[in-house]
Amino acid sequence: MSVMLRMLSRVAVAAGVAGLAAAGTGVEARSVRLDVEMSQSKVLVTGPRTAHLYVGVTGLDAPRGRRPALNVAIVLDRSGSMSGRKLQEAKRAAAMAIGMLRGDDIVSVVTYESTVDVLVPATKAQDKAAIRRAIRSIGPAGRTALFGGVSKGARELRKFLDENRVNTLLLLSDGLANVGPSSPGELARLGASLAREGIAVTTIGLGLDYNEDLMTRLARASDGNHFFVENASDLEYAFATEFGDALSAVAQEVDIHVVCPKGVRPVRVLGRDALISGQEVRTTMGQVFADQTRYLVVELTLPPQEPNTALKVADVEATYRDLLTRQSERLRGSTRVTFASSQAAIKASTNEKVMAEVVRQIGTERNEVAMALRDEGKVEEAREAFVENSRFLEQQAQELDSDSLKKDATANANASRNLSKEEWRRERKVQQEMQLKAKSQRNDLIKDEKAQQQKAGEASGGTAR
Amino acid sequence: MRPRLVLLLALIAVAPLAVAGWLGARIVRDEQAVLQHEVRGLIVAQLRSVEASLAAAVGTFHDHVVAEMPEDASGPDVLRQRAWRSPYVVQYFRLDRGRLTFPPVATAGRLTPAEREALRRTREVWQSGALVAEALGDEKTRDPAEPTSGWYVGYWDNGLQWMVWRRRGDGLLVAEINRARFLADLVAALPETDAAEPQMVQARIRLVDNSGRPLYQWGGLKVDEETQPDVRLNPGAPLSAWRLEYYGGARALGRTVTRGLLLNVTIGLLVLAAVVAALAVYLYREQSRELREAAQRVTFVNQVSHELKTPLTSIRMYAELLEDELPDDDERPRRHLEVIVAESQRLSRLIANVLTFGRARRGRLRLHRQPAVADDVVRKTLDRFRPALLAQGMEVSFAAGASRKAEMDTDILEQVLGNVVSNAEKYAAGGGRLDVTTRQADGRVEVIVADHGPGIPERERQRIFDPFYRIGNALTEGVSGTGIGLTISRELARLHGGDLVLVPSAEGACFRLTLSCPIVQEATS
Repeated sequence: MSVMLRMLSRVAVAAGVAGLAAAGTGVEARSVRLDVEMSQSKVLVTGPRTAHLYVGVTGLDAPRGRRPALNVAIVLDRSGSMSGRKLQEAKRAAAMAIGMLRGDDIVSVVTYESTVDVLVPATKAQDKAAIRRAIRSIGPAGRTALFGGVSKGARELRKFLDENRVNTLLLLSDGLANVGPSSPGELARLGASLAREGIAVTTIGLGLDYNEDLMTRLARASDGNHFFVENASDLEYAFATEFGDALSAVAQEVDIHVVCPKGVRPVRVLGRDALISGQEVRTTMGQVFADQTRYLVVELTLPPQEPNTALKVADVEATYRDLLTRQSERLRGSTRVTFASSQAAIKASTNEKVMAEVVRQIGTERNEVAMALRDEGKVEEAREAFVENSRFLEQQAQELDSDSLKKDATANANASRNLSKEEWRRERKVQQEMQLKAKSQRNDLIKDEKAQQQKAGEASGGTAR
Repeated sequence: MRPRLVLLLALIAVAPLAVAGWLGARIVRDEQAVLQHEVRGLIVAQLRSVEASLAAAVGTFHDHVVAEMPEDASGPDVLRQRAWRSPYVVQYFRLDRGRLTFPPVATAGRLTPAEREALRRTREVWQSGALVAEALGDEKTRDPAEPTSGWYVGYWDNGLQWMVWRRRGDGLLVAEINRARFLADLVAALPETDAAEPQMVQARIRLVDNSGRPLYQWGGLKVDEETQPDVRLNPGAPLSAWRLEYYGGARALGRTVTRGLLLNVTIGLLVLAAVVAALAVYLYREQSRELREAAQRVTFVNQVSHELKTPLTSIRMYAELLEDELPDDDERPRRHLEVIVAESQRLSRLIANVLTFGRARRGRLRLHRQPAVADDVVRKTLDRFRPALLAQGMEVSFAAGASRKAEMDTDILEQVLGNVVSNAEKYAAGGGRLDVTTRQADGRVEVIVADHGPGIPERERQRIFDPFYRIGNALTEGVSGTGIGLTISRELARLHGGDLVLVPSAEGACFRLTLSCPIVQEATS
């Protein structure tokens, strides 16, 4: 059993008396709600004083017919390996996506092989027929100048870069980048840079030959999506999903600023890049979509306290651009814990939803460890790690009644069965996609859960500014 | 004869063609070199303009970075946040009097993991002090009030890395650049293939990093790993470790332009070749026709000569018979007969020469040796000439010295001697005397015929043996002759293992005839 699992079970098993002052705050502005909660609102006085702070940003339902304007660059691989059905389907999917645009959306189309062509420079999506014609004219040739394609796509986006538009670069590739910089690290740094300008890069890996490390790290660093599309016929679905997501965005450029009072130390942020400087934690999220929660989990250590005393754990401030009102908005929230001496009380204070997310992040970290073992060729150890992780997730899923954990448990179990050389090539892409999904820290709201949360939010009566 | 003619004509035809071809090739080559040079100039200009766009992008990037830089006195939180939010910068460093004050190395516990990592990878930079030296410059010359900024290029993380520094007084703020973003911005500033200039359809420009890997490229020409660029150019700092490479254009463009010239030169050469060949064929046919006609003429002369021989022999024979039958006191008719005999003998000689010449040309001369005494033959020949020579006022003295019987062709001896004496009769009658001497030794017979006429000029001596050559001066004027007598005489002498030469003498002409005539050993009775 790993250290992580032991630690977590201690946290989970710790029980205490249910406290009244358990406090999460839900703060709502026009399009976004901010939730600040603890995985457990009570902390054992004598135990290890590690706690997990959860900050959730939930996109609320947009009024009918309202949607943000888009600024999209479609960057397509047309290298020799794309020839035939792959390119055919990619062109079809791109043409279909053009159909989802409105006249005031901005679109550009870039293709790359050994060199880069800007097929459609950034333009309003008014003459869709001309754009579709340009897309139809794409033919396959040459190698894969992925870096050049992304650079040019970003340049096209920058022409109309606007904090009120959803700025997305949609990158499709089916192979290894072999012209220009091509290491996952380098593309991740480029992705991070683009994210800071408000550009998200969504990557679609087609077939089994692309570099999943490069594609997922680029997407993650820029807070974009990643799709593993094994069959070209599913491209249309991926494009539609991505465009649908972008169209449902309600806020973007979300800056989260967590300030812990003296004595509370932020140790690390699970599964995402963040800046921890002294008592402060900062992180950003690209876009928040309607009916979806994006969250962050901060691991904290707490100072020793007397039983039954309450301690403020964090003040949280979120600033964002509201895409519907086109205003910059700010939300504040805070949370506290109560110290207790009974394990049962602590267990009872568990916030299952938050705990499930914490477990999910931990499960993802363990999944990455198992994957690294397999990458090193330690097949047996990797199998053991996947099986163990699967068991852990399964148990937690039952305890926390979480469907997404159940899914992750199944995925880990699947991975443990697909470790042979041939199967791993595909399985690794599946796992990477899953990791990215977990690390992007998004949760689609289920309808009734949504209603319940909204009610809970109203009850807690936060302040919005 | 004919193969030589063909060879000669071919040479005449080929030589000017070769010269013209060589000149043409040189023109094409020179023209190509000039064009290559010009095209190269154009390409260099194009690469310079690319370099200028790169420099502009570098400048813009630098300005972005400097504009974003926080105040010098900013605390760690501000520096961290700025870097965290910056699209261009990974990490800030601050130095005061050359010492790192941010990240807070002095208090290691306060370093973030990212800062610890940044310090690890840039350790070399701070240890070597190169950046500080470069940025602070010479303390004496610099103006401390003037804030300046600049680039620093280093090598870490398996690649070239860039930093931008800003100096204020003794303080330095250094920004470690997000390399990937820097590259992406440079790439964004360069042309794409479809937006490139029309001449780029058949060319390619590459931006290549310090290890020769292409970072970005554009242009329609496909380039593989082995292809060498036509022109290379190093961009200015801070990109001087990179190269701009131009492919395909110089050759392609040079080729297109010289192709026209090459075509013209080739057409010119072909026309020249056709004309020269036509001329050669014409000349060859002309020459062959003349040769054929000459051969026909020779055949005709041979046949006529042959036809003349028989009646002439009859005339001579009957004239000699008649001479015998004439009474001794009948002077007049005898004199007339002598003329007839002499002239018919001359005619016989002439015919014999013509026929011999014809045989010699056809390579059909044959030797018919038989035992004979040379002196007898000589005497007989001289006897035959004597009346004619006397009529010209020439006396003949004969000093006989070849009396032994030897193997020889008497016809040849007779014919050669006849020709030589006849020459003397024609050209040296003024000398009044003809000395003929024979000798015999070592199986050779030597006959020397010396006249006392005007002699033969020095420069003509070799040429008198050439066929159809006649000395063109007063000597030969008014004297008939065919110009083949001496030629065939020498040929016959050589056929007989000897020679006919002109021997230098005090006056007149002196011919020496030698013939190889083995002595016939007679059984002593």
